Amino acid sequence: MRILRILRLRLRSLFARSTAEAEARREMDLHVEQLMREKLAAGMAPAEARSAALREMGNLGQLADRSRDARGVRYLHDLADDLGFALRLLRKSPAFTAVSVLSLGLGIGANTAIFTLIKRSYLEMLPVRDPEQMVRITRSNINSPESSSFTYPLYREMREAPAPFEGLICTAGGLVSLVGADGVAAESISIQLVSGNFHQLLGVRPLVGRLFTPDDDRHPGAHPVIVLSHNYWRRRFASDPEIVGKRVRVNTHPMTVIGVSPPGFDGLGHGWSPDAVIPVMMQAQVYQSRSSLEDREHWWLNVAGRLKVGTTHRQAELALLPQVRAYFQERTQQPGTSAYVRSMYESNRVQVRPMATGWHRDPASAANSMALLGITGIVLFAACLNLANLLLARASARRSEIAMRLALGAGRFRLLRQLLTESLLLAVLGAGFGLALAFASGPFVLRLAKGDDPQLTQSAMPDLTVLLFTLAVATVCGVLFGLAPAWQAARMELNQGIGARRTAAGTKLLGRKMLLSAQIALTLLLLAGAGLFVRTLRNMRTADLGFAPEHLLQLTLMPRNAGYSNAQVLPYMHQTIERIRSVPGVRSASLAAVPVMANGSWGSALRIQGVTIPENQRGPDRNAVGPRYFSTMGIPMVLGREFDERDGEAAPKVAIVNEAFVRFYFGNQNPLGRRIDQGGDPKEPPRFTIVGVAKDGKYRGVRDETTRFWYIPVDQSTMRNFLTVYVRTTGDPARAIAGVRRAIADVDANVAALNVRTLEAQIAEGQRFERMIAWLAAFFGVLAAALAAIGLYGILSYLVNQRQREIGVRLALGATPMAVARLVVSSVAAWTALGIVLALPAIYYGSNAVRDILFEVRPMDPLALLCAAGTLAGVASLAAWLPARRAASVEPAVALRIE
Amino acid sequence: MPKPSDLLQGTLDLLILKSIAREPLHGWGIAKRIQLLSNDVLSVQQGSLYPALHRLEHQGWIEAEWRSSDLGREAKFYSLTRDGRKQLSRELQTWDRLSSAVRLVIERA
Repeated sequence: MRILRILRLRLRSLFARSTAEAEARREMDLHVEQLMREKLAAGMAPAEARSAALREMGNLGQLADRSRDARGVRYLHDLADDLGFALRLLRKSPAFTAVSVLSLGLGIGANTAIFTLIKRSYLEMLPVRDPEQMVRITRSNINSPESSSFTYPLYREMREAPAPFEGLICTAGGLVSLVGADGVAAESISIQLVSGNFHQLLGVRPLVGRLFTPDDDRHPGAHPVIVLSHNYWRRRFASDPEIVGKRVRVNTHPMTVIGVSPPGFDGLGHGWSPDAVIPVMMQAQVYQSRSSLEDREHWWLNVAGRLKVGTTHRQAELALLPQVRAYFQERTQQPGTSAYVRSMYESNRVQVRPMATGWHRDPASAANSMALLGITGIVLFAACLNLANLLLARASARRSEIAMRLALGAGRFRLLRQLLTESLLLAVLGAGFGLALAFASGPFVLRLAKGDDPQLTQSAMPDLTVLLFTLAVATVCGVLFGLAPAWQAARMELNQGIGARRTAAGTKLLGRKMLLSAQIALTLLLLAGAGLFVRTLRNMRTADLGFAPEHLLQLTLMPRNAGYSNAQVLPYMHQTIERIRSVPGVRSASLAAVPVMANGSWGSALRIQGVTIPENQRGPDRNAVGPRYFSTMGIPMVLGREFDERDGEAAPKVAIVNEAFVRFYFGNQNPLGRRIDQGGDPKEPPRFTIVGVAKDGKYRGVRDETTRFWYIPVDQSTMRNFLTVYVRTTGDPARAIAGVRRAIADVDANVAALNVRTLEAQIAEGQRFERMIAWLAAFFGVLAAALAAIGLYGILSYLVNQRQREIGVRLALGATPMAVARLVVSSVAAWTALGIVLALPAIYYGSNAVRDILFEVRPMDPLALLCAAGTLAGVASLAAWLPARRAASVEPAVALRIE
Repeated sequence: MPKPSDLLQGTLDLLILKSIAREPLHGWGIAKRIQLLSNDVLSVQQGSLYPALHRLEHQGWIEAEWRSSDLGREAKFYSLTRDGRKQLSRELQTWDRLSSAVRLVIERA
């Protein structure tokens, strides 16, 4: 009751402040009136009575103050006053306000979005039990760099060995076609085959139903069960709570859904979740192929494990090594094994890599994220410098105001509080803008970085820790420098402050000039980075790929997933290609077993009649392609012919090689008619006759080194699970998509077309990171340049104002306007130059650090550096021009009378 | 003008609470009542009455209401709240203890 009454009164005096004050005033007036009446009645004269009454009452102003204190809201009232004053000030200088809020907002917002992206992608722990115990296993030898592929027998042998692991799991990703019992059309989903201990070892609990146990891993083909990811269960089955026990067909093989994994769990990765997992024992059934479970040559599995507590990675590596050695030992015992092959097997090593933050497939990802972090860090730093510079500028501008307040008796503490209020208000506005920016740019940055696969589970919401961190950095910076006037005031002699306008303030600007130098250095660093990354992107876009990607459409078909047998695949494919060729706007069509520009390759062993293959060299890559592949892709034939309809399954086996292949294995000899093969029995003659030589090109991606490459006809190969169709169109390939899809559906609606996109889109996909970093660097570079220009302009304008009188004197004594302008500009030019000099070592170090991201650009590329310096110089001149002109046009007579 | 006797720290609150215990009074009335009941010995310094009233009001001991008064105009009348009544009895006890202690000291000294 009492609390409520107090609260009501407090609120009233807070919000109905004037009413409360007026009432108190009225009350006291009444009292004074009564006193006066008494005095009058006692016979005093009216004027005398009034002054006596007032005297008796005491100091009314002081009483009102004490009343206010009694109401306990004085501090709040002061705060409201300060806030009102600060708001008025900010409104009065909209440019200052806008630039400060922009600086702060960008520092907070953009950084939050990108730090969040990096944190979620690379730095967050896997949502599994004790993630720091998780490791991934790789192997290497002198002939091949670190590889994470294992055969099932090798996995099994490692798992059964007495190693310091709680357990080892294996996984293998793939695409399958899934049909539910609900009549929805077949759709292609991304799955992982996993060992039965997968969920238990990771320590994941089911959201619905149950997850796998080692009992789901006993016998090949005996475990037709599937666990859906949370993402897929929601997307495809609308979070059906009755999902357990439902039947689905995976590549036509019937399976039962037994459970759903929890949200947030994406397998061994972050942010991208396979749609479902299936026991590895079902490999042959799911892919309707022969079993790889006993195949000692098929390297198709990734292996991860959980270390026992207290075990080091080194111990684990040493414990696994005997298993790997023994695995290869058998082969070195075969008769006729060369010394090199023996040394290769003996050089086998096992690596145990930390995996607490997830399985990062792309080894460049760490370097890439460091580069992104670098850019955003620089932006945050530059934004803080800019803000500091602005606030210092404001502090100098307010020297005389502050001095005046002190002279009029303002308490220093009270003054500090007011300045703090102003800084905090600015910080709050900036933070608000930053927050809005962080939320708005999150989805954009995520899309830029990751595309829009339905399997993406990464959240675009700003990470709270990151947000708080950037908020804190920017706010502390704002408040710290916002208090500069108070700091100056504390040391200021009053008369000096009020008269400050007259004194030359050159040395006082040292801090601001140093800030400007640093800001210019950071800006140049960003611009140089932008130049390098933009040139990289441009070089990648214009790189010669060895084929013509314009007017090309690609799509992938997996007829085996729709129930076609191995023998039925090729007739189906030829029929489909025929059908596509008759679509209006299609010029030609062909197919390949390995898609180009998709970061995939198919290595091969090699035998060539009459040539000894060097053992210590990586073998060539190859592809199996359809008739008219070369003319469809626009790959020029250097010699001989391309594959066509005559190169069928039963026809003589033929091959086409590329120029690099010829150079390496044949030197100057004519390769046509020579016979080659992929290994096999060395006593048999090689089966494939070379009928053509194709121009060199890029196969896996734009960054490919020149690769030795050979092709065989798809009809003469066994690669039939995953076939990519290439369609050359007369016009825009995107416009042919609908017709091509219809043609495929006409042949068989059960075969889903995957990855349907233009080849240019496919290539762009491979340049996602380069595009992102180029955009970011350019965006932030230009922005930083604009902010630096504002800083420069501010300092110069201030200088011109300060030195108006001096300039007037110089002009009066006969200096030319030009010389005066030079005088003003030169005082800052040195500091700008210092910034540029400071930037050079930073650019040298930074550009070498991102060397691997660059493409056909040297780290200290002169063109990029020149562009950066040119942009900065242009912006700086623009910023200097206005104040310089003002200095040159000072009227001596006016300037001298300023006193 | 007679200089009013200095009030012991804290006794002003007690006097205010006591003076409005029987009926609501405005500021002028409170000042007069204290003067009257003490036979003009105690006289509140006129102005300082009001900050004290406002403080008591904000502590929830008294509440106020504007209504027409004997002064010919609307005045702010203060009255005790329930909590104020309890507070008054607490303060009276304290005062009794204090004054009897002081009397004891004086009588025995």
